[in-house]
Amino acid sequence: METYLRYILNSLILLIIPFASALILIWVARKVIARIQDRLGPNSSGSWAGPYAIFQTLADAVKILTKELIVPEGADRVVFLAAPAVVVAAALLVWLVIPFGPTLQGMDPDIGIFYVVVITPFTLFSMIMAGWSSRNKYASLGTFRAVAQIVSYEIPQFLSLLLPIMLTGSLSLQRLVLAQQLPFALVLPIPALIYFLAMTAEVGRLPFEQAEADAEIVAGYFTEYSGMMFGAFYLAEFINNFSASLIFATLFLGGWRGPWVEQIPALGPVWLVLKGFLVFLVLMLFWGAMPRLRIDHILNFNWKLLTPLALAMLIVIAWVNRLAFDLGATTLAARAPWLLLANLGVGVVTWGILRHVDRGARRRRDAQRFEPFLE
Amino acid sequence: MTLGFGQIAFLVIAALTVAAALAMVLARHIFHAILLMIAVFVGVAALYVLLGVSFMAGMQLFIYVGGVSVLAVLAIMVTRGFMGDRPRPARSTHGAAVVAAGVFGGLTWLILQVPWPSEPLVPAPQNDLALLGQTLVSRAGYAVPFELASLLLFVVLLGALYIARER
Repeated sequence: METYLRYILNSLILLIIPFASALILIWVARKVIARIQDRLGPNSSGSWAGPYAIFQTLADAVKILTKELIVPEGADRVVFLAAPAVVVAAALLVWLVIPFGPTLQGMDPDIGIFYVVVITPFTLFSMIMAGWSSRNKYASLGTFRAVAQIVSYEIPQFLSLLLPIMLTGSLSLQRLVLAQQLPFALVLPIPALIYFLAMTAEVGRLPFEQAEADAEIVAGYFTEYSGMMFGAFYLAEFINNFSASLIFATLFLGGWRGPWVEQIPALGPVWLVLKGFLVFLVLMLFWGAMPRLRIDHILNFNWKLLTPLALAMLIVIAWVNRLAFDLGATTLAARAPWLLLANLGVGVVTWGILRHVDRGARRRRDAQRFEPFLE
Repeated sequence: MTLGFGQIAFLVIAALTVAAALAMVLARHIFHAILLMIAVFVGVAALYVLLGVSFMAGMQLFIYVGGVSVLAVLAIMVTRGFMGDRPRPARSTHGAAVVAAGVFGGLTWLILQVPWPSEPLVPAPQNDLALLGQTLVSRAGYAVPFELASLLLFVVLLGALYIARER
């Protein structure tokens, strides 16, 4: 009986933390973006929202809960109502395996990071459900874009994910953290960058915000949602942003590792959340500073640059890692210079190829432009 | 037989999976059928989890939900109007029913025929994922079939490229 009570308590904690963090992060995001755009953002102005309007999100949540839930006429009722539930469930499932500390983890399945990978399609399917059941042009367009974008960006994401797994020799998230004597971002800067960009596309943040491009297609796949159903999508988006940041921090920034964590294990979650928060802030900076790319540019960027680069990285790193191992560099720290050199090499070659391609394209463009004058 | 947590969970999940499969076959709209198909895949994955093979469950979700189902949705998107309410064609259901019944009968016959071992053949090692990987790529294991499978996938990729090529 006691074990069941503990299970229930643990799941409740895992349920509350994401929502609470989303409430705080929405406030943070609004403030950060306001500052980028030279505004004040939410501020109290004498109401009860508290200093710097820290309770603004709470007030918004209460307001949104009281709003009417409208199911559009002609919508597929069951699927329409199920989509917000699925999106929140999919967003929460990831939190089960995030290692907050050496022993502080909901569950450490032997498939570890692979679990995170297989949870991803459920978010996509909630988008498809929402977009299809709404019977709305904008929602359908948003769904098309979301499917095209997420399905293609999964590939470089998984490919770059394989490199930390290869260096660790395990899928377990806990072992991935333990293996990082150096944060993997220092050893594998290019895969970390690829993973970060692909992750940004997965969670649909600018510059990859095509699925809900509000200047073009209202709100994309959740255009027709109102009240708390809209709130569910909005919350799930922020929960996803933050959990993706935490996963990135776990994979590439050393997870809960940090100074004094051996002496005081309670520092583990603090370090992880701090790192995750920094990654989240970068996402918000992107949101505030980046233009929205066109969908064909997004897909070209993925298929013509990120995917080949991730494949090349996979092959090169696998080879260099083995070579260094055979030459006696058995620890990660000893192999770090080798791996960094490999990263540098691939980076220089990629830069050279891009430069060459760009020159060729520019020459062709110029030739076209001057052609009328030459005749 | 006592009903422990595992047995009850198995019965509930199996019943839900079968119900979802039935509903999928009987669904009027193809999109509903796909959603129910995903429910069936998730149910089968849950059965794998109950059996203690989480890697199989992960593969099940990865390939069937992340791959096959998304592909089905993509196919609907690019062919039949995504927003339209066209019911799915019911031309070939009888033939499909015969084939499905044949497969079902054959599998049932097989399951009843095979003398299933009641004890596990090998004790489950601690890290069976690593063992699986080593078996797949070691020379003493299944390296050649494994590489041949990748060759097959490569040929499929080339075929798809050939079909999709702009002429």
